[in-house]
Amino acid sequence: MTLPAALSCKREERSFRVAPPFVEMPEAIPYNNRVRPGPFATTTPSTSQPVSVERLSHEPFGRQYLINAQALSDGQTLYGAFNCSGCHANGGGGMGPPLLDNKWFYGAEPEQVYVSILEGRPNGMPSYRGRIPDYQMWELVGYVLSLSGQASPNAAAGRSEHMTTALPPNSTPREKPEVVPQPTTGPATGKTATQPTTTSQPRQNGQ
Amino acid sequence: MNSPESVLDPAGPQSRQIGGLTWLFIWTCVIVFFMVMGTLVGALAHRRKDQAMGPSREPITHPDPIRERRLWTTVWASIVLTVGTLFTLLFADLLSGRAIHKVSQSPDPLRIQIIAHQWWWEVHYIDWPARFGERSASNGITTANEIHIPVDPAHPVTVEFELDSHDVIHSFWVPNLHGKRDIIPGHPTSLWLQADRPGTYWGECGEFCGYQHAQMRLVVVAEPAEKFQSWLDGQRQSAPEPTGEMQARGRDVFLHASCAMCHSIQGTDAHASVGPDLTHVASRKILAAGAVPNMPGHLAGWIMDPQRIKPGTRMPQNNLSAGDLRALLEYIETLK
Repeated sequence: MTLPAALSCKREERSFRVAPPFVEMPEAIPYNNRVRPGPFATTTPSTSQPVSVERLSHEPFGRQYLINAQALSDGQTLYGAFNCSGCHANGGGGMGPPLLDNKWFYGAEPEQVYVSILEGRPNGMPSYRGRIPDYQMWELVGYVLSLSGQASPNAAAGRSEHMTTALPPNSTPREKPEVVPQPTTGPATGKTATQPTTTSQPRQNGQ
Repeated sequence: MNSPESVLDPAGPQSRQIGGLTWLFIWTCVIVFFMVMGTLVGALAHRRKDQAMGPSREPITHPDPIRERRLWTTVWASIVLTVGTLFTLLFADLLSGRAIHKVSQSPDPLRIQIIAHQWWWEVHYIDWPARFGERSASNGITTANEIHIPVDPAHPVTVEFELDSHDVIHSFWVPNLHGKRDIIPGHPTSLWLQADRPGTYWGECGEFCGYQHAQMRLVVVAEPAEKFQSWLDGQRQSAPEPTGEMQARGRDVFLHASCAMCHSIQGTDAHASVGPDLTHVASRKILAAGAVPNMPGHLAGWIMDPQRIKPGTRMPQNNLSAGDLRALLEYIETLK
């Protein structure tokens, strides 16, 4: 009893004033200045010093955000606020690749996801360098990884933010039945024939 | 701020009803308190002196019809007085409720939508009486933490607030104008009020909503109809174009640093709606929902290190160079 209590003390530890970024960003790297889809700016080997994943992974930075419930929840807020859902939907993918599944084009290490957000990736992922503060990028990394269960289960949210069910039948407000004219028989001409249309579609990107 | 933030200083018909009710309850309670205390003191002072003790140490009672009758009269009088007082208060409460309801009915209100956030107020003017100008679905205005309403004794303008929250439970409360109204996410609610005295009234969140609940304040500026008209016309304009080199650089900083990820300025490419709309931020009295007054120094501190001013706020720290910051401040100062 005491042990989980002691452990959970750290679960939502938050520090409001973040230290300046651990990782100094080489300013020499050209990057997409404007947030827009498009290939990453072409760089010559002499000017390009991509942030070394090896070096990043020696910093205690990324892991720290994967075990912090507050950071994961903030990351979720930012995911919606910064319109990540515009391309990746709620993780199921759309214009961008899905984040819920187990396929990773650029690696599933926190540092690799971080670099994807920081530098952008070919075929549409914009670079957010200078746009999103560093610690918020790490929070996004945490949330993105938590979508496929990579974050610590002790820190990841125990339930989803949104209501997923319709009202149960006994709470559904009583509709007032209304008699409408019967659909005209004959060839369906679109406008006049009122045919019941089915709104349910097969699930896309079923995970 | 020229009015104390107080329920007992009403500035509108609704709050006047509530203020009257408050005073009625206070005076009733004061009178009841002194009656009870007087009875207690009286009972202590006039102890029975004829309590001869019998052998079993029980007081020997002498039947006394006059005392008995006086006792029952007192008991009945107390019951009637208590029930009567409670019913009077209940009745006064009902009358106030009816009066507030009656004064709130207006066919042509000023409609303001308020969305409460952690920890600021998003304000949309969605409709106003026709005499304040043409309205359409698209020409509403968006601001934050500051609400202007007209005071017009000849034709009182009723303000209808449509309240909603997108995160946690908040409560909209401007004590000088009306009571609280809790805002529960997913349950839009509304509140009607009028101001009949020009003034600047503080309001705040009345329901604990997180770390910076205490710094979730708003300002209601009640002003004569002409001043309100000119304010409204000003707010409907887009942001002015930058005029100097510094201001142009400031706008560039705004659009290309992290500002534009959350804020919007009408007339530019910044259209995010995560943080407050900054189209007319320089015309506002307060920053950060009342954490600091809106002055260039505070604004600079707020941009660079908001977590110092308001720990926990959603606004991140920004690392701007000194030149960029100066340019940005100069640009923001033009957003009147």
